[in-house]
Amino acid sequence: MTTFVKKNWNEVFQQHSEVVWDSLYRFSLSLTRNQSEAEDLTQQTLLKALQALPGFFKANYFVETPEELDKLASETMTQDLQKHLLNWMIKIAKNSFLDSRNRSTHKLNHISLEDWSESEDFFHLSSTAEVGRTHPKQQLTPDSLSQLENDFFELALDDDWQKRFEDLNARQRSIIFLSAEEYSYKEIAQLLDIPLGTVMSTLSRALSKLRKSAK
Amino acid sequence: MNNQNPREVPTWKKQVHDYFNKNELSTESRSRLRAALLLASSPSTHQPKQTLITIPPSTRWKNPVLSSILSAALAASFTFLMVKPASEETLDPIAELTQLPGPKVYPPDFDLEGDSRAMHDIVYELFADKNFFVSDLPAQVLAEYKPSEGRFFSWDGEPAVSIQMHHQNTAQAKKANGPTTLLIVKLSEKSQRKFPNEKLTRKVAGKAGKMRKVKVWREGNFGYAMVQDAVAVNDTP
Repeated sequence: MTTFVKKNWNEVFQQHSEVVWDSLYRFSLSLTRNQSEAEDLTQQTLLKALQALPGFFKANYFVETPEELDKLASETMTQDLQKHLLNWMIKIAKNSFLDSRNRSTHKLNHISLEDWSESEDFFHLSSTAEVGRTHPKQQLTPDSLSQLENDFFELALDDDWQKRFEDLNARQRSIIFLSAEEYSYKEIAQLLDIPLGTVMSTLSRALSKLRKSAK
Repeated sequence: MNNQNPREVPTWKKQVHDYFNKNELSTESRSRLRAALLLASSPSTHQPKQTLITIPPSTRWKNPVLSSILSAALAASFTFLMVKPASEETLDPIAELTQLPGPKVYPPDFDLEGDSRAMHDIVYELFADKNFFVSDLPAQVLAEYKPSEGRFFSWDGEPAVSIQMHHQNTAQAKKANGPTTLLIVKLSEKSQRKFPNEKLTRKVAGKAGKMRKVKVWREGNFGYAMVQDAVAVNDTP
């Protein structure tokens, strides 16, 4: 493992973060659905992360003075810290994506952030008939969602699932992606800064859409 | 796939995971990212420096309205104190001279038509300064120009005179748009520093946006300016 060097944050951050660049890129891809835009988002995220790196250490390791910060930065970067760094950058990527989309939708005078709107009826299943086991107004719990997932696991995705995945909105795609990366609901809620229930309902809705044509 | 054993059927997580894992950054993209990171400015790890003036919390004004008024008053006072001397310092006396209304605007105080020599008496009387005629410049001016109407005025708290001058050379007179105005001003110490010792020709934008040529110079305590419209200025005086 390499260590942070006080006087060259750029180089050391590049070396440390490179391990998670692909993961960050894939998350970006889940948001943008476009390789070129995903690369741009990844770069934008890395540059923002570099500038905010001292703040990241301050916030997570409760260091205040420049001396403490330099000392911490010179310590070995553990795997946990790398994971923490990736999660932090996922948050940055999500915010950057929303910012850029907000700007573009604002320019076009469209309703912004409709996919992430809190006004959605998160606890209602829009495709309950297809899910088949829950009442339309039934609230999801981690247990009921696990049951749904288990049911879903038994069904293989057909070859067209990727097309249907592309039709999901950004929030659904990112939640599916993070869930597939074995992030817990709680972690996803924290990363995407949305309520736990929203994660569960969105995942349920997205799964039901993905299995639409599955036999 | 549906005929497979459920245990062997890939879960949606694995399918999604495998789908995304096919995507990775290309070598070129990685190089671009490395370059972008290395070229980016380094993050600052140091706290902002303290300001020059630090007000102890106990002495801070708690009333936001009064605090705003006080701040505004202090800012206005500071601006006034700083801007006023600055504007005085940047005053361009030459440009200001060219903007003065000439004898054409106001009724003339005197007319030297046909009596050029009276110009000496008038300006001598005005300035009452024995050093004034040490210079032979008025004589040079009179060698090429004929004075006509003129008026007295005050400039920078000192007496001044403006006299319309007509070129004696007919060709030059035709070339000129109109009469040239000779301005003679007594210079304050501040204005002396802004007046060139040597003859200097400048173009100054007039009030109507029309460029005017002005030839200025200084002789002791007196400033001279020959102001005319944007036509070729002859070499005199």
